[in-house]
Amino acid sequence: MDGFNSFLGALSAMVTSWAIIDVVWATLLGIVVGMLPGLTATLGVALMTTLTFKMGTDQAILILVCMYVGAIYGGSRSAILLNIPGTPANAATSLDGYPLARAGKAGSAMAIATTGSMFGGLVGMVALAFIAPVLAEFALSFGAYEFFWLAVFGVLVAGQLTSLDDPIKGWIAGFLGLFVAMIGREGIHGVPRFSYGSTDLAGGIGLLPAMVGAFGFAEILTVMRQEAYSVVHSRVDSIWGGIRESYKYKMTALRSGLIGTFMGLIPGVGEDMGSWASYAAARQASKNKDEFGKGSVEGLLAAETGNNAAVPGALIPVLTLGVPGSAPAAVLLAAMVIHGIRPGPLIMIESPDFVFSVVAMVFLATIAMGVLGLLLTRPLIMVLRVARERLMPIIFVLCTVGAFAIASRTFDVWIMVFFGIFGFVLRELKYPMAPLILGIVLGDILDKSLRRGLVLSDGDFGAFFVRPISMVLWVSALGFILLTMPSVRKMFTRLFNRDQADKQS
Amino acid sequence: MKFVQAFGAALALSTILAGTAIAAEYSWKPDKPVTIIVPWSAGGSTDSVTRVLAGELEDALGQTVVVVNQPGAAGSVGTTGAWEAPHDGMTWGAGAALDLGSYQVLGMLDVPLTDWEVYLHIANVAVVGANPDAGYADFGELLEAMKANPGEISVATAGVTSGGHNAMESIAQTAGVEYRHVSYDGGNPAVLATVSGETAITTQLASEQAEMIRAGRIIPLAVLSDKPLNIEGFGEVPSIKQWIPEIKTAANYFGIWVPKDSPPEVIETMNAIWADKIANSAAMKEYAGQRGAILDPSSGDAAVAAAMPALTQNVWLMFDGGKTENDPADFGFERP
Amino acid sequence: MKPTQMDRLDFVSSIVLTIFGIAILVESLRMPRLENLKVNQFTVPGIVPGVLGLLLAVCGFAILVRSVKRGGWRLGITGQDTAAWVTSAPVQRSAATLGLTLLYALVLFPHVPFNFSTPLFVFAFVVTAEAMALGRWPKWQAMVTGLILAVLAGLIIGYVFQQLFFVRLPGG
Repeated sequence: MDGFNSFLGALSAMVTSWAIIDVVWATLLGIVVGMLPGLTATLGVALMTTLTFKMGTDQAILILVCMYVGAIYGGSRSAILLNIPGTPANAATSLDGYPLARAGKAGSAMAIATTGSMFGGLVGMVALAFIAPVLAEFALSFGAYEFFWLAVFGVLVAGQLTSLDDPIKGWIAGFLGLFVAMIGREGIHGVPRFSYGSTDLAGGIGLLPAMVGAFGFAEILTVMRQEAYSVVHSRVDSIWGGIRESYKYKMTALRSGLIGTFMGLIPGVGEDMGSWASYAAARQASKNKDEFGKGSVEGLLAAETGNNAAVPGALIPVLTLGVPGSAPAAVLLAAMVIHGIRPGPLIMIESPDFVFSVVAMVFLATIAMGVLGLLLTRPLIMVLRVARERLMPIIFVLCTVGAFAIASRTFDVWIMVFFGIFGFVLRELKYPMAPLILGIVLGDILDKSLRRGLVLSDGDFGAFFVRPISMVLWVSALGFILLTMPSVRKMFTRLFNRDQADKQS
Repeated sequence: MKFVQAFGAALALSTILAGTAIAAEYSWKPDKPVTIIVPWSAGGSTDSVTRVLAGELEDALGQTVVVVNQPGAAGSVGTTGAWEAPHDGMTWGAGAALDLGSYQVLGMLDVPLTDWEVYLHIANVAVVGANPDAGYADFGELLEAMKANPGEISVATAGVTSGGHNAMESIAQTAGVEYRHVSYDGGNPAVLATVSGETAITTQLASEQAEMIRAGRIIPLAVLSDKPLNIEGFGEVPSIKQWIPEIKTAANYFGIWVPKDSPPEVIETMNAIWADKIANSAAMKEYAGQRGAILDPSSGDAAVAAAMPALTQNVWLMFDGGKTENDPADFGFERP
Repeated sequence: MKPTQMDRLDFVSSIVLTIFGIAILVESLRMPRLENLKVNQFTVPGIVPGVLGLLLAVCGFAILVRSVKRGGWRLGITGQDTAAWVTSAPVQRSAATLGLTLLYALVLFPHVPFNFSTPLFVFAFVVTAEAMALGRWPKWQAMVTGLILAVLAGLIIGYVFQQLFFVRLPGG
C-alpha cells in the first residue's frame, strides 16, 4: 500500500484553493473545446502549453491534464445531442447516444456517458499508479507486425459494427478512409501519392477537417433534408436514472475500462481504438446485441468508458518511455520536457513523486469532469429544443471556423466542404461515416507498418502471423468477422448445441 | 466592439498571467499575438524547443507568441504557409535549418535559404545508438559487423529527409558499408524501435536518445561530431572520427525564420533580442543541456554560415542517393 | 422481384465505386518503383494503395452483382418522376442549404471580415429556412429573433476563436 500512501500524499499536497480553481476552469474549458466540432483535445492541450508556460511545473501540468480529460469527455456531448462527435474518439459514442437523445433520453444518455467516462478515467488511473512500468514494457512489444494487424482489426470491426445488416458497405467506407490517408507524401521514401503537383494535396488530407465535414456538415445536410424534424423535450429527471442504469452494467464498464487502458498504451491509436474495441467487446458479450446502434445503454457506456480510460493509459508510455500513446499525450509530453521533467525509464527512480502527482492530477480532473458534466447536462438539453432552422446555421459556422482553426489553412475549409457533401451522399446510400474516419486515422499506420514489417522480415509475409500479440490480433479480427456472419454463427451454435447434447447423453 | 475586445484582452491576460513581463524598448512592438508555425506535429523536437523559445520571446516582446502546428510533407506545408503569410513579421517559421535549405532542391518550396532571415538557437548532433542486446561493445565492432553482413543490420531513422538518415548515409558512403534502412514517423519512434529491439541501431539526434541512454536502454557507440559528446548522467560518448577519421561531420541547427523582406524594425528588434536574451537564456540552456544539445545562437550572416555545412552535405547526399533529380549545383551548392 | 429504391441507388453507385477502385489500382501501378535507389521491393509506395484499390473494386463489384440480381438495373427513370423529385420540399430545402453553406464557406468566410460575413450568413439561413418551412415570409418577430441570433452568434464565435484561441480568421 506504499503506492496508495504516495498517492494520498501527492493529492493532499496538491489540493489548495488555487488548484481547485485551476481544475474547475481548465476542465470546463476542456469540455467546451471537446464539444465544439473542430476544436480537439490536441489543439486544446497545445494551446494551454503556450499559455501555462510561465507557471510552476505542477500547476501547468495540472491544467494540461484537466484540459485533456475534459476535452475527450466533452466530445461525447455533441455526439449525443447532435450526432456530431466532438473529437474522433467519440465516433462510437454517437452510434447509441444519438438514438437515445432522439428518443427523449438525452439526460439519461449524458449521465451514462459521464458515469462511464469517470469510471474509465479511474480504472486507467489505478493502472497508471500501480503497474505503469509493466504496462510500458507491454507497449514496447508492439512492433510493425502488431500495428499492422491492429489497423486491419480496427477498420474491419468498425466497418462491421456500424453497418450490421450490410457489413460490406461498412468495410467499403473503411477502405475509402484508408485510401484518403494514402493521399500526400508518404513517410518512407517521400514520394507524393495522388497529389498531382499540388502542395496542399502533397501535405495530405487532414483528419480533423475531414471529420468535421463528414460528421458535421453532412449531418446538417441530412437534418435539413428530412421531411419533419421535431424538437425533443427530454425529461431532465432522467439524469439519476442514467447513473443507476450504468450501475447495472458494471461488468461492461470494467471490461471497457481495461480495454481502454490497454489501447491507450499503444502509440498512435489511443482513444479512438479504446472506444471502438470496448464497443466491439461489449456487443460481443451482450445479451441484447440487437439494441446496439439503436440506443443501447451498454454500447454508449462501453464507448465512453473506453475512450476516457485511454487517457491515463496514454500517459503511461509518456511517463515511463518518453513516448506518447496519443496525439494530445504527445503535446503533454512536450510540455513536461519544457518544464524540465525528463520522462523516461528512469522517472520511477529519479522522481517517483512526480508520477504520483500526475496520478493525483488525473484523479482531480476526473472528479471535476464528472461533477461539471452532470451540472452541465440540464442546460445542454436545451440544445435539442432549438428548431433546426436556427441551430444548423450556427453549427455550420462552427464547422467552418473549426476546420480553419486547426492549422489556419483555407484548404482545410475546402476539405471540410468536400467531405460534407461526399459524406452526405454516402450516408444517403447507407454507407456509415465512422469507419471512414477511423480509416483516415489508421491508414498511415497500416501503410507504414506493413512496409516496415516487410523490410524487417526481408519480404517474408509469414513474419506477420507468428508473434504472440499479432496472432491474438489477427485471430480475433478473423473470429469477430466470422462470428457476425449469420450463416457462420448458426453453424457454431449448432456445433455447440451438439456438444452439449453429447455431454448430456 | 471595443468593449468586447478590451474584455477579451483582459480575460486572455488574466488566464495567462503568471509572470508579467516588462518589454524592453525595442523598435518593433507587435500589437497582436505573433504566430510561429511549427511544420511538424505537436510534441516533436522542433515543437518542444520552439515552445520554450516562444516563452522567452513573449517576455522580450511583451506580446503573446502562439505556436501553430502545420505538419505535412516533411515540413514543407507549414514552411510554405509561413512564406505565403503577409511578410509583416507577424508569422514565423520554425524547424531545422537543414530542412529549410533543402526544400528548394527537393522541389517542395522554391525559396532558397538566403531569402529568409534566419535565427538559430540550438545545435544537435546525431549519435549512433545500439540496442544493448545487439552485442556491440563499440563502434568498431558495428563497422566490422556491417562489413561482414552487408545490408543485414537494421538502422532506424525518422525518414529520408531526417538528420538521422543523413548521418547514416554519410557513414555508409564514407566507410563503404551497406545497411537496412527502416524509417519511422519521427525521432522518438525510431529510438523506441531500437529500445524494443525491432532494429539494432538508430542514428537519430542525441536529444532524442538522451533519456534512453541514461537508463541504459541504448548504448551510445559514437557521436557524429569532431569532439566527444557529454551527456548529463551518462558520461562521454566518443567521436566517430576515432574509427572513420575522414568522415565529415556537421551540427544540425534548429531555429526560427521570417522572409527577408519583412519590415526592418522586425529584423532589428529580433537581432537585438537574439543577442541580449536568447544567448543568455537560462531556460534554453537548461533545455539544451538535458537533451545533449548545445545552445549556440546566431543570426544574420553568421546563422547562414553555421547552417551551410550540414545543409550542403545533406543536399548532396540526397542527390547522390537518388532522392532528388535536381542538381544541387544549380542552386549554388558546391560539392563538399 | 420489384427492385427497391436502394437497389437502384446501389446499382449506380457500385459502378462508380468499381471504376474508382480500378482507377486507384492503375494509379498505384504507375507509381515510382524507385528501382534506381536499391530500395526493398516490398516498400514501394504503390503497394498499399494498390491493394486498397483492388479491395474497393472487388467490394464495389460484389454490390453491383447483388443489385443486378435484385433488379436494380431497371432504373425506371421517367421525366415526370424527375420533375416531381426536383420540386419536392426536401430536395428544394437541400438545394437551398447547400447553396447558402457553400456561399459562406467558399466565398464569404475566406474573403469578407468575419464579424460581417457570419451574421449575414446566419440571418440569411434562418430566414430562408423558416420561409421554406412556412411557405411564406416569416413574421417580423421571427425576423428580429433571427437577426439577434445572427449578431450574437457572430460575436460569440468570433470572440471565442479570435480572443481565447488566438486564431487569426481570414477575410481581414
